[in-house]
Amino acid sequence: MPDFQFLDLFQGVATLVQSEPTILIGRIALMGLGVLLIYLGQRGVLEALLMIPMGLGMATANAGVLFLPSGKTGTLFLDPLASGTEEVMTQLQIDWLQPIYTFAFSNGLIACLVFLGIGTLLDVGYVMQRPFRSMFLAVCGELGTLVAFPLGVLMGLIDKQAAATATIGGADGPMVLFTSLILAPELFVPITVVGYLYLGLTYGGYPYLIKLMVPKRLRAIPMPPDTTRSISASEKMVFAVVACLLLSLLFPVAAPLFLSLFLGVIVRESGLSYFYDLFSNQILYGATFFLGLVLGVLCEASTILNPKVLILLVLGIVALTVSAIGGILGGYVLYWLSGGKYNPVIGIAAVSCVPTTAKVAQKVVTEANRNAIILPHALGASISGVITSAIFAAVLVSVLKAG
Amino acid sequence: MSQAVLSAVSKGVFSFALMVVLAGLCALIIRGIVHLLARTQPKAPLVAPELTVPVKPVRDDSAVIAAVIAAAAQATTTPHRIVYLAEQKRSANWITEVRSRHHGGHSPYGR
Repeated sequence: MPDFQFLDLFQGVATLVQSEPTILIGRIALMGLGVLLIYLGQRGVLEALLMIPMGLGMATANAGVLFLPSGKTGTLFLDPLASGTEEVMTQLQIDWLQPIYTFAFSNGLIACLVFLGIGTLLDVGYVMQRPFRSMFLAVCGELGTLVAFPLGVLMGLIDKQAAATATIGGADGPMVLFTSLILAPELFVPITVVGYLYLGLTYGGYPYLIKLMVPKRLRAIPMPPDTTRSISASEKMVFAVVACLLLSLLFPVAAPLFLSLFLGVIVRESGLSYFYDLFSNQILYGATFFLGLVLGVLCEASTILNPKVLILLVLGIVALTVSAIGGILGGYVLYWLSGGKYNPVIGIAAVSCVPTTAKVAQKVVTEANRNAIILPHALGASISGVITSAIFAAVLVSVLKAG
Repeated sequence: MSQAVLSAVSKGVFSFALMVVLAGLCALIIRGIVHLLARTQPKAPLVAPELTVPVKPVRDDSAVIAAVIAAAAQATTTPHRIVYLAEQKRSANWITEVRSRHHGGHSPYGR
């Protein structure tokens, strides 16, 4: 019989047994949460594309903790705390996901790739047909960010952390990642994970909020058929170029996001089919996969367990709920201004999260009136929501960096 | 309320107001672009009203099959005879396909 300790053979169990009670409970809870995310993703309650790699990454990272030569515990996935050229170079040769983390997360590349892919899915023609109404609703859909920011400071976060968390109200995953990387890099993992978890819940939760705020009589209002002319690809491209240049000129700090988004729009409209296929499929889904996987792996108990996570959970849900309420109230304003001809449910689509919220709005309206088609209006509001979220995030970053 | 919260409120309100102004500016730009480009586009030609046909033509798949059989029968009388009819296999022509993609790969509008 060889002479070694049983626990030396099974290091995942050994590190679990020898860890502090908080870490032990945290690791077991996160393993359970990971499995739950896979289940909820598979059942369609949460976004499967993101939750399945994130769930398995989270569960496995908390199971596969081992003793490292330095005496500390860690995983062979990645080390988010590695700093300094020598240490990062060493980890790059050891941890298999370290290259993705170092070269795509720390600099926001993964967020830009997702945004590029989202850009190829956006038909800005819906916004261009009715710009003022769409932008008005989108502004109302940012109310959650406005409310959650001071609320976060009130709950004990510093202003940059509170602002980064508040951007969950804009309901754009890549934007939350990008903003938290700039404003609160020490909390970017929990902020982004909380953001994506809640964004995944919008499909299930928002219909209840709509039904609570809008009576069936108003949900059934049909939108009149469009009399506006269709917008040509050239017009969409001119808008994308002008908006990208103007916004980048105003907010250089968010210029990578603006470039990614509007480049996606231009690729879509230019008819460059090879680029369109690449960005709307391989790049978008490849980046989404690695985003989910790396975020899951980053949820290792000793890294993520932070008393501030509870605050983030509260702030995230407040931000998304208030944004949704703001969007519906905006819908009500248009309903009154139009003399009762505008369906207020369209307002929920302004919370961005394109195209989920637009689909939610159409689904709820169809339940009330099978002949009511509001999707073009909802998509216009939703796409405007992406633009206003980017503008609001850029303004917040600039204001807080300057102050 | 503490100084930090008041400061967050003021920064948040200022940022929100600035966002509202910029969103409005975006909407104005869009309206401007749409109006400007609408003027430069040629007017759409007048379209004749559609004729109403009481009975719509019915697609008849059997006619396609008959045409294929007729073409095949015709082909047997010519020097080029059909000896075998089957779905084209991808593997048989893969070199040609790859060469074709390679040569056409720089065409930006594809396929």
